[in-house]
Amino acid sequence: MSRVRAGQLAQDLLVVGLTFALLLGLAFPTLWIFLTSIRPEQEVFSDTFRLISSTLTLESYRTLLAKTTFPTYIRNSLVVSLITTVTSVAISLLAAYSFSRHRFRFRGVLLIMVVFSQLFPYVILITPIYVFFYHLKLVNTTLGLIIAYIATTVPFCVYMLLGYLDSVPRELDEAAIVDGCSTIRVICSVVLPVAWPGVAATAIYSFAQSWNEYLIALTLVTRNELKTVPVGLASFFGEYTTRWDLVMTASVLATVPTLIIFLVLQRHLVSGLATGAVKQ
Amino acid sequence: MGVTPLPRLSPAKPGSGGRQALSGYRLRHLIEPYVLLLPALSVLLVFFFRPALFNIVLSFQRISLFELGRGGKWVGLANFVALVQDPLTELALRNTIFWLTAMTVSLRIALGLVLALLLNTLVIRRWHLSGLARSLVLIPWVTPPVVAVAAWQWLLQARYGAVNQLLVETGLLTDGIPFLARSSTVWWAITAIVVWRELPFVVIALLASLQSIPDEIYEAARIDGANERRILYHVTLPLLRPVLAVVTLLITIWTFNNFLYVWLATRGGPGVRTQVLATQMYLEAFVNYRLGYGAAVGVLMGLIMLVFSVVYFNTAFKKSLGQA
Amino acid sequence: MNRARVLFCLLVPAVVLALSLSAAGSVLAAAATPPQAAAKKVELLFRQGDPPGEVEGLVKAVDAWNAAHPNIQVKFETVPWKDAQAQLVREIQAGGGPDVAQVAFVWTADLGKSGLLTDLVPFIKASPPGKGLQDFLATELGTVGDKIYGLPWTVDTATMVYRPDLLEKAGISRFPDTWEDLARAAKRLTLDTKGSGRTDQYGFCWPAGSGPDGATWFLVNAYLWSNGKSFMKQDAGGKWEVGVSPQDVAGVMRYFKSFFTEKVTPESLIAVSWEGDPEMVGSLARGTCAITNFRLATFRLAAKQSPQPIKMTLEPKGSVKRASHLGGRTLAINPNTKSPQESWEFLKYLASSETFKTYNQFPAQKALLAEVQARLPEAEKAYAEQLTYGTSFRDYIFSGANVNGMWAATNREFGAVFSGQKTIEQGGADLVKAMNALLAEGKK
Repeated sequence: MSRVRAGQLAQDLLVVGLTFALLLGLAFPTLWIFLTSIRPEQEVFSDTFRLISSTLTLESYRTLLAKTTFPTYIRNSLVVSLITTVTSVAISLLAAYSFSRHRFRFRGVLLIMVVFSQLFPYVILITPIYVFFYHLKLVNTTLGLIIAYIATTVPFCVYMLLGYLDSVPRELDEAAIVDGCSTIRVICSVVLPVAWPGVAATAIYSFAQSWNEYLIALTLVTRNELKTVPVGLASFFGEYTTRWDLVMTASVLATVPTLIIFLVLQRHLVSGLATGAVKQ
Repeated sequence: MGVTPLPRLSPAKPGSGGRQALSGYRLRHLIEPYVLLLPALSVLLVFFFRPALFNIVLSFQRISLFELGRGGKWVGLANFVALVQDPLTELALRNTIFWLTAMTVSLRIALGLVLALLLNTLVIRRWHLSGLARSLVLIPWVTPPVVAVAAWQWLLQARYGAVNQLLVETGLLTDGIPFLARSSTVWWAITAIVVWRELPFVVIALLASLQSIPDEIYEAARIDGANERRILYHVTLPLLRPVLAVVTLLITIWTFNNFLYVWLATRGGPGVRTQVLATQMYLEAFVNYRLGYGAAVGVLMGLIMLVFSVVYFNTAFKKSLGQA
Repeated sequence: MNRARVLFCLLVPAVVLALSLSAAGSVLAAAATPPQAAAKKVELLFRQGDPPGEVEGLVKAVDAWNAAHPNIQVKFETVPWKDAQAQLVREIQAGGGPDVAQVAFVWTADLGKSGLLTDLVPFIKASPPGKGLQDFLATELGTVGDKIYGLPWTVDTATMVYRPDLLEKAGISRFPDTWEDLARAAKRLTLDTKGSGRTDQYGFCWPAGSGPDGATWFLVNAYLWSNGKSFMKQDAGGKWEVGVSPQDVAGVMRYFKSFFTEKVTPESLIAVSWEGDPEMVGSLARGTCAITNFRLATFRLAAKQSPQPIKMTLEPKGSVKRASHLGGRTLAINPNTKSPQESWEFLKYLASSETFKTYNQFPAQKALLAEVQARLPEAEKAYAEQLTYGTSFRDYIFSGANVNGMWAATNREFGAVFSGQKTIEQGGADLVKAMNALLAEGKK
């Protein structure tokens, strides 16, 4: 009996060990960035690779928070990314439901059209987008940025949700429809709980996408108080000099709210089915 | 606590009632799919349609970056002919298709699958390590791209970089290799950067799908006498196919069009070793001011991805999602 | 879990509703904006491209203006230099953009020719800046025909920078005067100082990356010009042509490639495109490099980081003269501006001595240069002298070729040669071909 348990323990340890080895490997570069941010400016890129510097300082944090408008950038990014995520996932869910559950004439064509917008690289689309937004007076506004981000995240969200919804058995829908539920209710009460991990994953993707997007944010917003994190970070890079200590510190600061949001969202990666919570 | 077995139903019948209710239902059934699509499609149409069209129109003109107000000269297919004849195009195409896209996509799918499966194992859940593990996975994604590339540039630095210092200290190398400066190693360096930063997406996407597979299915298979490997191949992977198909399509399109990683890491160098279509497009449009020619590169990229999407759609996608 | 679902189902329509209302609101508000009353406050937008750390003095100057001019308030905006040109072009073409913008010397004529900048001649006649237009340096760069599109604001160049103590240790008493001397001295300075079997001190370092913004271009031009050659020149009839043969270019490539083949420059610099890279800035401080080539801003940052003193000195002499590029920025007014007069007043202020009291750049005006030069510390004195040898890119601009394209092609071909992708002869031939193509295109 104990030999089986020992064997099981060994196997468990192997799995956990391997997993966390891989995960720590993934986390290492970012960990290094964090450690760099607490070094004094001269030591940021030092001769010998020391993981922990002998002198730790929060000087760059102080500079960043007191002397720059970086906290504003974080706030702007949060607002834009959160609103984008909620809206984008919602309208993508409706579209994905339609593609998944309904058979209609132009389904194939429309499906290609959804992803069509992603086939061109943004770098070349950016100028007409700017002109368009300028005429709508959406330049240098938070709203303009949100609309742009919704447009850029919807295609991938639709496809992702399509994949997840296809994994939800149709019988659940049909049972609810027979019971007289409207489509919205079917989506909210029946399909959503089962596909919740997929929705959470899509939300995580959409948030990350909006948070890290640079090109559109650079083009549409030049006023300092409206800038987002990636653009704000870029402003630390000069033509001849860069304050690397500030850059590293800023990216650590930018990481914190995203990590918190991800921590919250990833908890929903657990399905209702897996825990046996699906009820009528 | 088990889940009640899902009832097998006959196809739903139209609501009972008179003829009125019947046609009302049919109408709703007909237009509903389109109504559900309306918000998403209208946003996309309004936002992307005109710029995409604009780009296509530009590609048929000889126009400079500064002439948008004045308009350019119509030259028909001249830009495309020049594009096809330019030796740089072939190089960029090869780099984009093989190194940037195929290499990183396959590595991401393979590693992502492994990691997602590992994160889904019972032992992780039993030891309450899921939250920690999933948060660690997300870390590369949370790092802004410009900082991520800078961090990797420094980590790969020939003298001071952690990677080289480790290799030299363990005796595997006598002297550091400047990975990003040497033609033979630069693509491996870029691959590492892209895979590192974009892996979380694949892991999370696959993990979400794995989590939707109820434990009961695994238990049933085990009761039937299947071992772990058979479960993996005959239960888990088939159930993962829809999401795997979608994820592969998405990251392929996205990586093919990607500009930022190569630009930040090497600017397409050394020489033109890491020139890809997106950097070529940027250089032509914004450095050489040949906006029309740059737009033609953009159209080429769009066409290739369109063909890929349609082919992929009709083969892997349809098979995995089981539709007609 | 239930709660999350309910929240989601409630939150979504609420957000969508809020969004649509706010969209409607902003459209209505824009339509309903009343026209500005006369004799009111004017708000100007001023855009520049340098990071906050470099422009504290400029911000002070702008704040001083705002305090002294309650009716003309200036908002300070930064778009990073690498994206600045594309963004400016986009905005002006769409009908928007800042009122006053900082523009690079080399773009001013191109933008002006395409109607994207205002002609400043009427303003200059009515209300001359500084000590008059003749006091400004390099005005021809912003001039197209009889129109002037940008007022030269600041000038900059690059110089050689070195660690005096390292040169002393190697027994070099004077900084090398010619390019050949430089190569020889650099060889003597390449050492294994720790006895570990690996070179840890390199003689000469520069960012040799292949990117379109790399620094090889400036060194190549300094070499060419100092030896009496140039990429573009006018023949006897006044027609522009490429001024170098493939052999000439191959000669330059041979010179710079020798630094890599002799291992006087670390191979890793082939991947570094700009001075701001930590590998470059800290190289003198760490003692990795004995000699580098820097701008003033980079020098100041490196000096701060270096425990040992570092010094600026003149670029090497060629067979004909000493030369380095004269770069700089101009100030321009957007044709879309609603307040051209006020924009000109502010522009004049930016070019005045008051601004340069706090703004630590070199003014493009002879009268002010002396003032600034007097304030330079000893280690930077050579910079002021180097400016007198500065040659602008006027020939390239006037030839009609796209200077940015020339810059990109040069770095690319040199990078290909450095990394062994092309032979020196092939690289030389290809670069001349690219130059000819750019010249031909510019003529159209």
